[in-house]
Amino acid sequence: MTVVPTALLTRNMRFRSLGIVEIASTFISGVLGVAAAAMVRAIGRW
Amino acid sequence: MIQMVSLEAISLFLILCITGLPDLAWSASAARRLWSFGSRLMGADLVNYVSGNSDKFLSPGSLERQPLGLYSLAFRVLQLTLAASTQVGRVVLPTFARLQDDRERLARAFLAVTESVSLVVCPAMTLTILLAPIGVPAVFGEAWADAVVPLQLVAAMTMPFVLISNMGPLTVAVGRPDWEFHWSVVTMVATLVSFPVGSSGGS
Repeated sequence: MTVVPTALLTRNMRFRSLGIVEIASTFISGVLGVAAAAMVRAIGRW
Repeated sequence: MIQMVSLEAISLFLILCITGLPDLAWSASAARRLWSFGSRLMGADLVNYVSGNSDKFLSPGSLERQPLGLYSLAFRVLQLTLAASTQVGRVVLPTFARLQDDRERLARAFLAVTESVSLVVCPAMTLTILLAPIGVPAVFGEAWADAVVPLQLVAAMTMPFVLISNMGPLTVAVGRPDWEFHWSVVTMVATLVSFPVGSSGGS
């Protein structure tokens, strides 16, 4: 899903933007993943 | 699962915030050009995947459990270098591509990148070779002392590996993904032949 948009940013050598996107999305999705795991555990499904 | 899906969705959202929505248009000639270039690159990536993971297919059948563990520990050194070289490749490909019409500057850029990467990797690998006899037992325990020689061999092999690691981005940048594909096939055959020979001859 992100292959082409990432390639477009890379082609334009916008590495700072790429870095910001990767760090921000990794952090936010990590928080969401941990929150989801905690929620599933809290309702006794895991 | 939620983490993976949200990672993709958030990345896409953030990139679109930066670049804006692309224009939707279809061009048959652009698609043909892309296929001609991309199919060779995809072929090279597939072949590289096979040769890069051939040890995982071949080693369980050809190595006992203990040598497999020692090899696995030693191979982590190369994995770390591979991860770093992948990131370098992401940056150097568009840089080389911009210089593709000026071969003199391209050659200088290639040498500068290779020099810089070697300047970091070669001393680190030399230190690994020299310190492994003390470092491995100290960090992992005496039980892993037999991993010293495999670790030294992998560290020694990493240095020439790094020297040629920018050849892929270079050939792609000058519009010759077919060279990259042919080179990948040669290295895959060499890997598939040499691994069983090496493992049967002892580590």
